[in-house]
Amino acid sequence: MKKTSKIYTSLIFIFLYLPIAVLILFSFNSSNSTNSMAGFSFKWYKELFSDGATLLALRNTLILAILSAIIATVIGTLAAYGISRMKNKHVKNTILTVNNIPMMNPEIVVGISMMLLFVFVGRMINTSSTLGFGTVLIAHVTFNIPYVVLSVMPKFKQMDRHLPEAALDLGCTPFQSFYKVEMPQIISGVISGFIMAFTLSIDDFIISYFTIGSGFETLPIRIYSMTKKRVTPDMYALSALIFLSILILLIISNFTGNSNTVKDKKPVTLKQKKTKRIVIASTFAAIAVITGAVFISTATAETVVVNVYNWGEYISDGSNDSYDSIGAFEEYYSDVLTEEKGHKVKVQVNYTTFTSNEDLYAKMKSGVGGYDVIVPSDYMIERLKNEGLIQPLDLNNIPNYKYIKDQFKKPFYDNGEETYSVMYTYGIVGIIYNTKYVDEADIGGWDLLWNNKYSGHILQFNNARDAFGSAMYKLGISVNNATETEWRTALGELKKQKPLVQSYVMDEIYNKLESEEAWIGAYYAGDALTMMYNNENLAFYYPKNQKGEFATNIFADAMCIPAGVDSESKKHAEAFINFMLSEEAAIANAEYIYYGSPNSLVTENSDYKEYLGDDYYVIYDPDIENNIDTLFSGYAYRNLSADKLALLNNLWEELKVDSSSFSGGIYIISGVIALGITGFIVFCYVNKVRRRRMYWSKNAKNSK
Amino acid sequence: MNKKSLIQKAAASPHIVWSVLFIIAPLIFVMYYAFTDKDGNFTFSNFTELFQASYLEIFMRSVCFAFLATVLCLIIAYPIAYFIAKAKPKTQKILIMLVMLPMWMNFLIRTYSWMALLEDTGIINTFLGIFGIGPIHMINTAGAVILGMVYNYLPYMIIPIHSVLSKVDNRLLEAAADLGSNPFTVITKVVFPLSVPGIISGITMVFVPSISTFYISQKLGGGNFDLIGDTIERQFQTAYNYNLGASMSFVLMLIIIVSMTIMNKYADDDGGVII
Amino acid sequence: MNEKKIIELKGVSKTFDDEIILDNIDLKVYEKEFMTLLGPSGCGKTTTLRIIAGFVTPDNGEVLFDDVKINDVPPHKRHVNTVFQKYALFPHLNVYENIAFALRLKQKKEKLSEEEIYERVEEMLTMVNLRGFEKKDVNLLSGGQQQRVAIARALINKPRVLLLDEPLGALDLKLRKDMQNELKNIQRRTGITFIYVTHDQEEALSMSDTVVVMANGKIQQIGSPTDIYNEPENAFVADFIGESNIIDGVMLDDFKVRFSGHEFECLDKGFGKNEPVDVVVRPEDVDVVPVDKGMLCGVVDSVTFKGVHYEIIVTINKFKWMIQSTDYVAPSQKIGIYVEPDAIHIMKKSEFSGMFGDYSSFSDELEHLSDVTEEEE
Repeated sequence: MKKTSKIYTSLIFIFLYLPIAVLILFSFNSSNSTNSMAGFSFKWYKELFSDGATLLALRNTLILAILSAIIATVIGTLAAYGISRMKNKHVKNTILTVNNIPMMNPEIVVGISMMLLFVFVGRMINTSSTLGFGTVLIAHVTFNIPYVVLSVMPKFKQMDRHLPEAALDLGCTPFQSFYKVEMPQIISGVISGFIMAFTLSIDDFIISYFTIGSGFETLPIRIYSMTKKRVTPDMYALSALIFLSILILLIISNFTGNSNTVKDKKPVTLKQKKTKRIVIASTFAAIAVITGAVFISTATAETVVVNVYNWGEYISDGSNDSYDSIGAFEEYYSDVLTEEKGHKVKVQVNYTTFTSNEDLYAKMKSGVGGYDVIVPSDYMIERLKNEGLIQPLDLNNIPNYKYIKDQFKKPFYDNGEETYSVMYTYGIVGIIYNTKYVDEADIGGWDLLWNNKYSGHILQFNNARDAFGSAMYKLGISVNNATETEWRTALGELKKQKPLVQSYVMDEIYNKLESEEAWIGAYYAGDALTMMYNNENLAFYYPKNQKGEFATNIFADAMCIPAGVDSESKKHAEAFINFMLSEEAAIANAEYIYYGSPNSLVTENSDYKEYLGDDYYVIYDPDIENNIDTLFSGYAYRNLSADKLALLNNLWEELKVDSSSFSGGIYIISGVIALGITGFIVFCYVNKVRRRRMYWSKNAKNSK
Repeated sequence: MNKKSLIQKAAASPHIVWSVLFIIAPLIFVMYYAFTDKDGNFTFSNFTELFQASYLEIFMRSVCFAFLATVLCLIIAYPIAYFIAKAKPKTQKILIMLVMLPMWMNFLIRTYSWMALLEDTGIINTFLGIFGIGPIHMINTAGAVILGMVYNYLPYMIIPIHSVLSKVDNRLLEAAADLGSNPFTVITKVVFPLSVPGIISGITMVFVPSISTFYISQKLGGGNFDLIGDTIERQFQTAYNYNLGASMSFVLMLIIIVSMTIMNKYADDDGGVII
Repeated sequence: MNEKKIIELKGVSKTFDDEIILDNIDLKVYEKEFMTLLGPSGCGKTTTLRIIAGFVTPDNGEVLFDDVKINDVPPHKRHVNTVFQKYALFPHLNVYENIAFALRLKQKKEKLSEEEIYERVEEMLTMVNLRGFEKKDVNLLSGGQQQRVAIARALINKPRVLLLDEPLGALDLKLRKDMQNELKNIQRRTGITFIYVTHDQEEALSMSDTVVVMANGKIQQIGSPTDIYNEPENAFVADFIGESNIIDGVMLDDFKVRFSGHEFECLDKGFGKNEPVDVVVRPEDVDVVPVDKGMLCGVVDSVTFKGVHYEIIVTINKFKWMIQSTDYVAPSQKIGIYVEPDAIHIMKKSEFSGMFGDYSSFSDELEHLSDVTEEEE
């Protein structure tokens, strides 16, 4: 290679490997930041191996990949055989065209189309948990089959039809002929099909995202829910390990694999053949061992499963040496059940997370969840209750309910006769700002989010209700009873704000504010304190509206049980809720989440008070504590009527797609390039026709 | 013979059944949802809704972004595929392996780590800051979204082009030189036309995921550049409007089918168009 | 052929991966000559051709074209064109455009009109008998037709020299004979110098004005076909060209040679007294005679009917002779042989002496087979 080409090639490889280098670098970060290096440490690698959820996700991913690849390989190989021996061209082409659809169709369309099928079937057979392991498996097999077919088909095509005949002629039985003659011909295609299927399945996110349900989380899905908030460096550590192992695998296969290139036509030695066989055999052995281990580990005694669907990072899960409230529950409750039933019972909590109430609602509404405990917010609870999607709780099974302080027992969203929810946390939205960049004179109101001075450093909620809420609190519009014109006024305000906004975020706000990438954003008090702890330049206040009145959102999240849960599972779900109200778990969660707790066992605990220090009075501001009822009625979001909801969704779409001047340049560039290409093609085509006309016409003359 | 052909027919049947159940049926459901309203009545309103200026803009934007990403990928990938194809067989094998290696890493996490690179306080700007340059605003721009697409899908362009180029018979290049082509015209008149099939499959493999992506634009565009994929995802995961989402998917499929058909029509001429 | 010299190689050497491919080659090519480079695979003939075409740069030595050194002139600037082994037709172009390729390249610079191009292409097509194939896809043509397109494509530029690299190698026997004649005709008609590479000695003998026999990266002999056949310079040439019996002998004196225990008269002189030499006797020059009249005698091993003649293998003094005779003799029969003085050709000893054992006839296929067995060891 010449010098320029070497430089060019190196540049491209730098481009390809830059982000990977970054993530490997940050996997050694001693702080939990993913964009500034604090120091070198191995702690995230240690963390990784104690992160049960991530390891479980890794295991799930492997099971799914192996199973789907095996099924796809069997179906695909058979199909390749059948198709290649098919005589009717028409049928053959039709089958191949259909076969290609999952490859040619955008993944998102494949994903949603399967989701629609599953949802529909789920409704037909009236089950509450259509989506789950089975559906992801079907989806993965579906997009794997085409690749297997495509890699095996050519092998069947190349195979000499007379080979099996020759084998039979030489005395093979038909089985021997397949095993000794046909099999070796296609095996390389089958193996490469299997490997491709395995890889695709391991890496798939989009299709899994739409077809996955409760109780089963793959690694990409886990990464996705983490990137919505903050990716902890242990995920980087995992990626670094995966990268390293693939690299080693490739190097080994490259050096043991016989390099039978044109240039050095060295014959394959027996030794090389042997090593190659050993590599293949050991790969399969490894796969077999993993599968075996997985099946053994899943096929133990009676297992009671509780599917919990909660917000991301919303429970003390044992990370950073904290109390593992899920593990503690599993242990405690399996003892209880074992004693009750007289034989060994294992309790397993499948804990998965969502990122918005609307996510949760979509899952509940489509009936695909299969969850036993969910933790929606106030207005969503009201909506779910009105639509009959959650069921009343049996408070006899939740004795710890008595520790909930009275003012939180009958909140506005659940003040009927029956109790549908047990409050988990509550909190208040405030504005976080960076004292280094933001002038103290500008703070105090919602106006700060609209302040020109800080253009490009302001964050807004990436969630319709909260984003509109910020505008409405600012303007003094009621967030619950606004008229359509008032909603549109709020939209106008948000459109005005849009050019100033750096990005629309949810949990990404942590990173953006802590790294000082952004300076201003509205978020929940507890989270604000966490951010302030990580970056001391950050400060926080409860904002006022333009009239100078205290006006901001207060919310509560509460544990509920979906309507479809049967009485047996409901009992377990209630046991889970009860356990979360017990002293140790409740305090651990409150310390972890940093939101307000409605539990008197928590708020009156002296260790907890000591742990929070001054923050205690930010979270449990006495003003709020004493007026919780009025606050809830005045400032919490209420469930909106169907047409208001539709309006909200439409206005949100309008805001999101509104892009005054952003992409103008892009259109012009695209247009120019497109014109250029079309022009070039037309030019070439005309030129070609002109040339050809010569010998077309002359030939025509000659032949006459 | 009869028995054998029966086996042969039966061999494909699990695949056929599977395809009907899980490829064709789901697509029928997309159509069904696209042409019905919430109560299951037949309607065109999902499509008329798409003709609002805002949705048209999203479609336009997605097509443009995907188009630019594809063009950039082609421009970047072609020379490198060519250089790799020119290298020694052993080097070639290693380089191609290196091109594919990043694809084994989860694409979410790779995209996420671009954020750390591109932010105003990110690694690149910190680095430039040492020399007193910047900070250059990169993240949350259209450029960042396109960069994300190019980054993620570049290998899909390099590999098919390389595999075609590496199969181009060296004697054809010698023949061209022998007949008077200088090194430049050897590329334009012989190498390029011969690599058209690779280019076509590269374009397909980059354009389709680019136009339908929903993660890259959210992360690198800061939610300011919604694409079709984001909008569809929102309909299914948060807005709970399956019908609108299905109609968008339907239109997305149409866009892809139409653009692929146009391109393949040219490809049928086997690059002869260019000469 | 004492016309104008067009190409000259002076002391050209080439090494690939420490393997000497060409070792100090000197070669002169004259105008309007049909020259064949003949030799077994790996002898360096193709490399020589590629050096002339410009695809390979020699490590040492000079390549002269019209007495101008062209070592560093790239292929596209040389006035030579090549017909490649297996043709190397452009699969993306039809027959017409393949042939027009060279003209298209200079269409702009030389302001060639479409008409002119058309005329030239048609002329070429006529020459190779492919009128009416203009729009055909080259991938769908038969081997012979592709061959013709390749020739037309290379000739359209009116090169001074046409290089042909085993052009008929992929054709079947019958077609090959036809194409040989056609090539020869084309060469005569156009007056272009042809440098033709082949490993087929029959092809070389029947087509060429000059044959260059190569082996081990060296030129073994340059000469007209008859010279090469009748006066081989060493055992290799004798063996490679036609069938021969190569026997160790001693030159007793001028016109006197001794081999197989018998003294023969011959027409060669100028060797040292009692100098060991290689003696070549062509099988068709040996007469079968009764034992008592024979100069040598031996027992017939086998007899094979070959149509025109019988091929008789006779063991004489532990050496198996091959004899071609129109008379039948029975196996195991004792016969005598008689060799005319002018049928005896004396060669100096060379590196190839003794390599060929009994009667020999070179076979490329056998050579390949032996290569493979070596590789598998």
